[in-house]
This record gives sequence, structure tokens and C-alpha cells, in this order.
Amino acid sequence: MNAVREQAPADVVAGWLNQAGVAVPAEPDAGDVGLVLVDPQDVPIACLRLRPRIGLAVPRYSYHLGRVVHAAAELNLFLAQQTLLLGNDHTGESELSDLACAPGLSEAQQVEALKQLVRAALERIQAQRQAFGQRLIVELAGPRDALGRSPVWQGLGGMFYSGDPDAAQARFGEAWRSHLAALLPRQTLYLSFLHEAAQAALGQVGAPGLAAAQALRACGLVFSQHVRIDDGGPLMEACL
Amino acid sequence: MNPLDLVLRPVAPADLTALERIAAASADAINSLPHDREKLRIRIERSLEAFASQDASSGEETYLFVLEDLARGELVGCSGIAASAGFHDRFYSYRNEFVVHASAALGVSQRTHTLHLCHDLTGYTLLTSFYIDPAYESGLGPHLLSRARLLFIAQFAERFNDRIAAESPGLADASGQSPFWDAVGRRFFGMDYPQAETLAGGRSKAFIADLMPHSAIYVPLLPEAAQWAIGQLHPVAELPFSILQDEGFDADTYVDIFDGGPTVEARLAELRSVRHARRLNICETPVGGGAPDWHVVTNPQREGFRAVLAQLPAGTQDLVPGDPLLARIGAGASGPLWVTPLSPAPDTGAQG
Repeated sequence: MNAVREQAPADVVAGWLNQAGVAVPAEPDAGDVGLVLVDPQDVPIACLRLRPRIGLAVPRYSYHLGRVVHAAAELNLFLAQQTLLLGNDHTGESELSDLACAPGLSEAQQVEALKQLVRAALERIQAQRQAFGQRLIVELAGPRDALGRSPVWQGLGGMFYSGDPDAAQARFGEAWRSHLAALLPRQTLYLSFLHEAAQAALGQVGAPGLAAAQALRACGLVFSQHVRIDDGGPLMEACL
Repeated sequence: MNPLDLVLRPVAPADLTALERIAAASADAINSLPHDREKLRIRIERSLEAFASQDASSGEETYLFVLEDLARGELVGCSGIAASAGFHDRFYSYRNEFVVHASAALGVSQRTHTLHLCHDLTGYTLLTSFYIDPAYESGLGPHLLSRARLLFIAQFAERFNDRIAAESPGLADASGQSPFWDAVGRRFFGMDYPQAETLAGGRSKAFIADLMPHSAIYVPLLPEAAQWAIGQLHPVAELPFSILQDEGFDADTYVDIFDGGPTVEARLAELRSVRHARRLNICETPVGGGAPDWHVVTNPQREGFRAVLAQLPAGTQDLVPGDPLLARIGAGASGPLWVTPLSPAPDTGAQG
């Protein structure tokens, strides 16, 4: 029988890749709740981090996917366009991050392990409801091509920041996306202005997030109509 | 051809066939004449009404001038004025704006070009329909054709706005495909530019613009060919555009929402031909002199408006009675002529 322990993941799982494709950090932030799943031999097989409130110290950015209709009856035109709007919609909400599994687990084992952890996190929230926000969100990695490039980055972010996003992520951690947001368009963008590859990749889950996405769906989380501002990966959410 | 044989006058009903020939020869672009006899007949009628209308302007007047070579008895060009852009509706343009985004942490500060859909030019008086027979391009005809309109506006200022704009066709290939349209308009219309133009017919642009995105377009997101086309001219527009630039029109602020061609604008009073314009009185003892230089000369009539080219001394203020210029311009006794130099000395006339 596996068991869930409340402990800082970094103590035992440093180096595992999380659902956003980044190594689980060695030092979690103060106030976060770490959960680790161990097998009957007491070996850690998965972890996650529950953050009660996000975006209160460093602004948290995402793109909201919306729709706008342009209609002209005389031309017999009725076109629904998808739009992107940069915002801080999740300020003060709760987040699950650093969903990661031990190397070597099959996908089915990963999904099962992460489901157990997500359920434990939801119970943990209910036990101390007032400490958490209205929603629980999870950021998932966006797709990459065979050369490791993100089509969304190439079609959007890369037009406004010429540096290497992976190097910036390594240097600034998750604060990198707050720095990036300062360079991105502030007004509503029409998705149809992006390259086709970027449009197709937006909101799709990349390889590092696939197992987590399955586990989160099984626990009742859904796509929140928001995407990450660098690689276009989806944000999943649940109302608490 | 002899510049003295050229005369600019309001279009007349008898010009229909000649105008049809001109329309067929002109590029299929913004503000060109319709390639359709019936529509041309209506254009002529509307112009006749505009020239004949009383002073209270409704804003819907469109004036059409033709350039005639009297030696050949042929029309060799045309140009027009629309009293009020957008009429009672809206006139849409894209305004070039630049926003600077900066991140101290990333060490980046960059200027980003954006296009904003706007109605800034609504109500401006529009210069339209410029066409000159290619055989006359290199002479003084284009200058008479373009600049005489400005003197007409200045003389009948109560009918027009004190700000003037002019659209120029943007880049397009031989089949009328425009790179700017392909990157912008096509995404919202799902059709070729010529097709959209046909569908839109004679309707105001507001109709089409309702379909365009209302938020700013971030130029870096457009394909390179479209980025490059912003503010670029169709080759047929280079000559009339250069005349407008010499007049002092600003070409950096607005572009056409369909093909990205530059839309120039200026205050009438600041345009070169208007700043240098002066009255020419009839006088037995003329004063002024200097080396003769080419001028545009206009009479003060509305329906009987005429403009011709003449070589006059740079500082001349009077004409003697019986000067052949008076017969050419048909001024009769109805008032002083207006005159403006084609190439004024840069430091004169700036007092307005």
C-alpha cells in the first residue's frame, strides 16, 4: 500500500522533472505544502507541491483564450475569431505545482501515483479551506518539436524577446515569465495572426505534462481557457 | 506637348466616353475610377451637382476635374476631391503607433510597431481619382492636375475641411493581390482583395471595417512581406505621391486598412501651393518682375473653374488687360486670378 506523506519534496526527489518540464527545485517556498507518495518499501515514487496563494508577491501572468464574432449580414459573413488577452487572472488563487514521478515508472503508474497525490491535496485543502483561494490551477508544459523548440514561443513570445527562453527560465526560475510579460503585447491578440504551427500548439499538452493531465482530469480538473505565456501550455483548474 | 495647351476644368457630360477610356487605362486600385460606363455617368452627374451646389455643403459632394490638351482636343487626365471623408459615417484608417516594452531584469527595451484602427481622418477633405496619360507624365501636366485642386479648395474653403488627406494605392501584384491584405484582411473576410472590393461596391468603408479586428495589430506578428508593405506605394502612385510630398503632406502616420498604402494628411493652409498662392490683379502698370517661372493660374469661378500653366515673373502681382493668359483662363470680369509657383524659392511666401 502506497502512502502520502507531508514533507518538502526536494528532500527526496531533487532532479525529477515536473509537469511543466522543469526540475523540481531544491528549496520550496515557505508556506507551500509538499506531498510525497511512497511505496510499501517507503521509496518515494511521486511528489507535488500545493501553494495556497499565488501571484501576491510576483505577478503571475497567463493568456486568456476568448472569442469574438465579426458578422456582416450583407456579406453573409459570420466569423468567430479566437483571441488572447494577457492578464493576472489567477492572482490570489491556489496552485498545484511540481507534480513529478520517479524515473522509470510506466505512464499508467505515473497517472495512478499522481491521482493519489492530487486527491490527497484536495483533502488537504478542504481541511483548511480558508487558507486557499477560489480556484486550484495547474500549469502544464506546452508541446515542443523534435528539436526541442516550442512552436508557440517561435510564433509569439520569440517575436518580442530575442533571448533563449530556456536559459532565462534556468536563470530566473518561474519569475522569468513575469519578466517576459513586460515585453509581450498588452492588447487583445487575434489568434489568426499567429503562424499555423503556433495556433495548432496553443493549449496542447507537451510530453512532460501528459501523465499529470490525465491524473488531473480524473480528479475533476478541466482546461481553464488560459495558457502559459511562453510555450502556450494549458492551465487546468478546479473550483474549490 | 506644349504646357500652354493644357487646361484643367470641371468634368462635363460630353466627357463620358473619354473618361471611360481613362478609367480602363488606370490601375484597379483604391479611389480609381469605376470601370463601368453607368457608374462613370453617375460620377459625372454627382460632380456637376457638386460644382453647382450652393455654399452650404452637405459633405457628400465629390468634384471631378479633367485635364484637356486643347491642341489635340483630348482629355489626358483627371483628379478629384471628396468634400468629407466618410461622409456622414466613419472613415477608417490604421494609425502607426510605437510602444516601448521594457524589462530591466531581462535587460531588454524595445520599440514595437503597432497599427491602430482609427477614425481620425473622418470629415477630412479627400483628394481622389488622380490619373494622367503616361505620355504626359514627365511634363508639367501632373502638377497642374494635382495642385490646381488645392487652389480650388482654398478659394472655396467654406465647402471643405481645413485638413486634407489623400489615399494612395499600396503594393499589389498584377492580379491585384496585396501582401498586406493577405496577412490582415483575408483572415477576417476569407476572400481575395479584388473580390472584397467588388462586394463592398460603392459602400462606405465602415461596412468592411466592422469585420476587422478592433484591437491593435502587432506588426512583428505579421509575415515579412506584409510588414514590408506597410506604407509602401503601388508603382502607379509614385508620381502623384511625390507631388503630395512636395506639397508638405505627412506620410508617416496613417495607412490604408486594406492594402497598407500610405494615407497622407496635412492642414490646407500649410501646403506649399496654398502658402505661396497670391492674387493677380488686372492693372495697366504692372509691378514686380524677375525671371519667368512656371505657375499654376486659376480663375475665381466655381462652375466655370479653369486652371492653366503660365510662365510669369516670380514676383509678379498684376497682369495688363489683354494679356493672352486672360483669354486662356476665361476669367472674364468676375474677379482676380489666383496664382502659385510650381517651384517656389524655399524661403518665400511662408507668411501664409
